[in-house]
Amino acid sequence: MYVFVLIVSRIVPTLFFASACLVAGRFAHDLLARSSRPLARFAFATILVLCGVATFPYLVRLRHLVGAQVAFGDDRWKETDAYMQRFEEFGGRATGLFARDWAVALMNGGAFAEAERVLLAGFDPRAGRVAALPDSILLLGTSRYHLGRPDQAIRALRALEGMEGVQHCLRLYFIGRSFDRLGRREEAAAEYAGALKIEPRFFPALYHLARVEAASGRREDAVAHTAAFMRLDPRQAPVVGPLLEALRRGQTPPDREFKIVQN
Amino acid sequence: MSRIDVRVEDVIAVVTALALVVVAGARALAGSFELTATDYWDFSFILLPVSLLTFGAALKYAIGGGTSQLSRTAARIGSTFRDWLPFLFVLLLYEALQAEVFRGGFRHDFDRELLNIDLRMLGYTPAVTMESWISGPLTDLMTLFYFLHLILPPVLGLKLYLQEKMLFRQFLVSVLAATALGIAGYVTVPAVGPAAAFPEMFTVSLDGALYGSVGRMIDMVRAPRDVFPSLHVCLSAIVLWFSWKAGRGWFAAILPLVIGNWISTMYLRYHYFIDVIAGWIAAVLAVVVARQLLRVEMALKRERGQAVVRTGLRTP
Repeated sequence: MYVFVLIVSRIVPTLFFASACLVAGRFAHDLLARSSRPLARFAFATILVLCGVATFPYLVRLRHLVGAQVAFGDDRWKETDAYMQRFEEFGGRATGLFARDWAVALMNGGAFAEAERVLLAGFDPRAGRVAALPDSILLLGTSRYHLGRPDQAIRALRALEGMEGVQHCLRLYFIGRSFDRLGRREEAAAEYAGALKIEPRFFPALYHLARVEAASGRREDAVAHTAAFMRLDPRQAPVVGPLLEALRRGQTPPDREFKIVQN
Repeated sequence: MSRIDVRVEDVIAVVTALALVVVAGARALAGSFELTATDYWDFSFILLPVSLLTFGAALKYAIGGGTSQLSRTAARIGSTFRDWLPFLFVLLLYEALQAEVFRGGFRHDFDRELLNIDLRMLGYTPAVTMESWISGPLTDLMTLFYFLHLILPPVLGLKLYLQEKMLFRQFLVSVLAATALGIAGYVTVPAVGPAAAFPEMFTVSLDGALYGSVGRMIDMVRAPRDVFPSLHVCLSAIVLWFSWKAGRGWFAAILPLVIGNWISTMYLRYHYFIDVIAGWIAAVLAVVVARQLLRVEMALKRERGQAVVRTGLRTP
């Protein structure tokens, strides 16, 4: 569907351009036909060929964009990256959703530094600020967290406003993870709790909330939160159960990184 | 409508635009705002028929032999743009609802009230009861149905345009009136829909190959509070009505798609049932209003024509 939209949105300007070329060609033909018919035909053909040449890179870029989107839809991250690189080679600039999807493909492949470059290149700089998709800023913050720059991650993620649902949950979760990395446990716990409020079944947020609470000496809170989570979503018992047992035994769960794959 | 050839769709579009500007101006008194939409890909669906018609006219001119005339081609292309422009304009109005002034200016969302109406009418809201249907393929199918609101109007519009210009105008004016009603609803009864307002009501996540990517794409261009009435339901109901006028084959082909579109608005948790009912009512209103307005326009034009003949002031 996305590919369909992509093709339609590129066909429209192509058709308008082709129409302009046809009209210009015929107009030139009629103008020259009074003096020389072969010259008129030559002018007509030349204009059409030039228009074809001018359109060629645009269509090649479309081909690579479509390839990238198909690969992205099938979770083929390396192929997505390869297509987008060729798109750039032909003069394309990945902005908006294209930059976002390219960055996601790179991040899912573990290439966080390259993802950061792609996201920054896709932003539209304005006086003192940037225009970007909230999703892209979320990814920028996430990639900076994974690159070991929690301060920068917090700054990027805090710049986001008006997010809702899963994206907002992820935003708070990664702010929490960044605070965690900085050793600011209380602030981390508050962010994890905020993420859980939005997506009450998001296990990574619960895990780290319970871990931080247990490590801060608030084991009862950790057990209570974990037990409430299990009651809310018994289907996650295979992962929540062992955590609950460990907390009840007085153990503090280890810090671990959950792989959150996006598409 | 006395001196220039003003059409009903022009009047609706301009009045709606002015109303939006007034609301925006009032809300902007407290601070600055800007249009934050980043991608207008949805316009390409309206522009596709225009570009096809333009290309057809250009091709005819280019290979039309000695009888081809640039002025006639330019007139044909110009009239195509003129006929379809209100569609684009009204889509622009919808996009304007993404401006910061509308995005953050609402003090109160009416989701609780809309949900309560559903609960009083049915005892539940369909978005929740439909959870038992959820599967990946069905979610993808519903996403496809939901997306059709961008495809069906231009496709049917092109068919009507080629079939009968007056029928096309009736369809166009109905769509414009529906959008004006929809925007009025969004501004007076802002709400975000069951998924965003009450995530705790749902126990099963929606997931599918199409759902994520298409949903994200649609979210980019949708107004942040576009729930009451459901314009998806309203526009697809109008499409269904005019497909009946286009021919029985068209109606038979479009009927299942439209029904799927209506169900998808609730299955995908964008709407309450009351929004769907409001969408149907808005569709009926829009079609009736469009018919009346076009009658008024024709009467005014007839009167003007007679007056001109009587006074002998007709100029070439």
